[in-house]
Amino acid sequence: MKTATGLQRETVRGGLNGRHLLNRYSTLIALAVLFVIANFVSEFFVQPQNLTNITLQIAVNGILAVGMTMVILTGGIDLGVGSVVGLTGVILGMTQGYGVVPAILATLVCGVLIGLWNALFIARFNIPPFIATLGMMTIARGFALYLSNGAAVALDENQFYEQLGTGFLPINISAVVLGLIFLLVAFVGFKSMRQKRFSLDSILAFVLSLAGVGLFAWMYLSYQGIPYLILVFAVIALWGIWVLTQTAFGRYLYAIGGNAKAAYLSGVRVKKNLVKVYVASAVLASIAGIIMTTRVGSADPNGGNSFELDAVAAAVIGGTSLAGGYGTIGGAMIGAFIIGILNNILILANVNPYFQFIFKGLIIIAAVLLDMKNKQQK
Amino acid sequence: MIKLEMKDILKEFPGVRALNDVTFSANRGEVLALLGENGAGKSTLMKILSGVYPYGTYEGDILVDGQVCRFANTREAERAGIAIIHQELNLIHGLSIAENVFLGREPKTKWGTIDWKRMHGETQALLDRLHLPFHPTHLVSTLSVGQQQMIEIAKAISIQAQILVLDEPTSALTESEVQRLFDVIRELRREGVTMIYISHKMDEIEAICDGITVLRDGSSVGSARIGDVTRNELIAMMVGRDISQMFPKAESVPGDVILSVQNYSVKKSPDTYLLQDINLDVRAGEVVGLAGLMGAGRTELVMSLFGALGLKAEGTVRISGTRVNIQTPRDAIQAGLALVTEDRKESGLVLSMNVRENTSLVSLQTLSSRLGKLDHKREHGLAARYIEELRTKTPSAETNVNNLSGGNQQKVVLAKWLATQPKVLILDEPTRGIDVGAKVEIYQLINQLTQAGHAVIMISSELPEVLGMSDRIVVMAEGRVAGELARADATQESIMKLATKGA
Repeated sequence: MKTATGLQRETVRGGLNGRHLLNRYSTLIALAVLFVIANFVSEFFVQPQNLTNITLQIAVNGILAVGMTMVILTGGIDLGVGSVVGLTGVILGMTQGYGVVPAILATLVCGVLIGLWNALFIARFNIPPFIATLGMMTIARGFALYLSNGAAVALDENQFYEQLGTGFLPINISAVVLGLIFLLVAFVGFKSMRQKRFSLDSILAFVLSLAGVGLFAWMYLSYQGIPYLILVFAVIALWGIWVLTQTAFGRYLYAIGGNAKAAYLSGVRVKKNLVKVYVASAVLASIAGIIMTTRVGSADPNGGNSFELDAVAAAVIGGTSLAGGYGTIGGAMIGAFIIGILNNILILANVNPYFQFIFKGLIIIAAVLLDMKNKQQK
Repeated sequence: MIKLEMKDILKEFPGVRALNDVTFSANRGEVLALLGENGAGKSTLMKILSGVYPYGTYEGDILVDGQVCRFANTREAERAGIAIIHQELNLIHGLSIAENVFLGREPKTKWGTIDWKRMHGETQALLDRLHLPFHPTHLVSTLSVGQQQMIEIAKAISIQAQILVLDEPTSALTESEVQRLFDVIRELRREGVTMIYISHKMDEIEAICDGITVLRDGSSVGSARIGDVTRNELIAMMVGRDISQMFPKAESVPGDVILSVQNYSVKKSPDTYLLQDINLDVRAGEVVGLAGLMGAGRTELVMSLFGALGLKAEGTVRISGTRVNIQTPRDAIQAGLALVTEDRKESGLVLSMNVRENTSLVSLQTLSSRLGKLDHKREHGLAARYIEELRTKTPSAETNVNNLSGGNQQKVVLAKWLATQPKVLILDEPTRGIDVGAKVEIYQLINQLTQAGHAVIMISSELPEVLGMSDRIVVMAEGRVAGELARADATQESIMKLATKGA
């Protein structure tokens, strides 16, 4: 009893507690440390062009990580997304002759169907998500190879695809957009700060989010503006954050992962919400497939190989618990950036590229170890 | 000749004294019934005997053959010849009978590998002895519960147990399996094995036991030989205490019938009933206590009414006169039911969430706009209101429920359901595992609810609680309503009589 109340008091006071802050921002601190290290490795790192490129490289994994985090929150996993990226790329390539809108619609419909298929086995027949989506991983890859006959499908020259994959929002419009985002973040942040009576926590969150937006603004405006595909990525990430923090559906995902039985007994339609989340994950994977294809200019049926593991890694590094119930999209995004920057550092440092895998593996293990330690202290 | 003696056993848990100077003894080849209400301390006592609570965590002595035993763990107790067969069987379903019987002490060949020939041979001998028609390589998962219990007994025999504890061994057995078990018990008795038989069922105790020791509130209140005491005397020994001033029961005037259950049956399999022909009315402003022994079907009844049992029900359920068809908990909630389940950590709370999120979980839809956007302001307001109304002791609404005490956790569960403004509130063991102060607060809350016109169904295994808080008591036994008692007529004896009827 004594220790319990002691702990509780600490949480209330928490604002000024150094360890509490360290726990709360541990992934962000890791990202910052990585940033500093990167500076020492190569002066090229902080060049706006390099930073912009890093964000472009991260976008696909970031989009997948949004869906993956939602799935993992429910205690599940979606191992199929990498193959779905490959398959939907091929479908975009094969349907491009019908025009941009039909091709993109066909790709998204494919995503919806794949999500429904996964959900059918997971929610209706209670097959463990790991198995159901492991099956989808092979099925989708098989379809991608079969439909394309194993060869890459090149995208024809098309203004829209080129802009989406490699274009930039003109710099002056970018400036306006970033300025508006800055103001919006400042406004929302200030409101939340006032609501929390200017606790240290809320001030810190306010400053950090403004600094983040500022960094992005500097980076994009000193180069060529905001890449279009980053706009897509940002909208998806913000949508994910909105769903998890502002909607009943988001709350249900946490409840299902935390205690599915209690959630069901509380009237939560567990199966229906699982259907939604697996469809969301597969649709996001098809958007990632479209983006990757437009970026490269062709669809590789082997594309997206092992992307599901990167998405899981981003979520887990960002503090999502594989057992479900804990995790945030913001964390997963930081996780995606950590992986992206790490890869960039290794390339800049001329390290053998195969080392990437080894480092990534070590970071995942370290991140989870750290997270478990933090939770034990709580 | 005394085989086993437990002397002046005293066991404390933080804040509770679970056992207080318990003393009893059993002779060689005796079957001793250990009798007591739920929570009287039987399981705790047996856990001490079998080394689950090691020497040093309790006071008093365990004597086997007159020698003081100090078990550091269950293995040492096993070596002293003590085996316990728990209510929940401890077999590994994916392994064979032989592998289960010899788990952790497999015979080895000189190469260090498992001596399968010897293992299967010895297991076959055990099975023959118990007249079990199985092969040692059969998987345990293919056996019925009764057959699995026999395997546990085979295991006990194979470690040459001299003292065998059977904890409610017949609760999941069919009639013929019970007879089979009794045959085995008689045979073991002839061979000089001492058995401690824990059960509520008087018929069985009279049929198979030689002596009885009664526990009440953690103390041994008496021992007797079977045949020297009447059943009523035994029940009086088990319950014999006054209802203290703990129950601030407020008088309320029952109003219209809110929940009406008629000819309600649920089948477990095509020919066995889990619940049979239940009729139950609950009025506004009334607390109906559901009493009965463990396994009488009380929890199954409320789970089924709430749409959470997953089995098809027959019969009619009316709420405020309207016939309802409840298939899922969601239907039940919409019909105006609320269910506080018996295990708040397992099925009541989402432990990864905080007080606010748990409180609003059932009401999220009413707290959201049509587009699904949550109204955070109203959600915070809801949580704050119930923290205040129920006097929940929590540092803030943002505190994780995991950090609260049992009583306060239960208040969060109650808050979650009160927020839905239910017509009928069903409470399954609402005060289990919470301290006395919080219990009284929950009783007061039940009073407030009935005075506000809610109907309440309360399941409780604590008879004083049922007697103290109910306006009417429905006693269940073996999936049926065994009888109904008005508040004025109900006594612990009359409830126990109905509850053990036919068992």
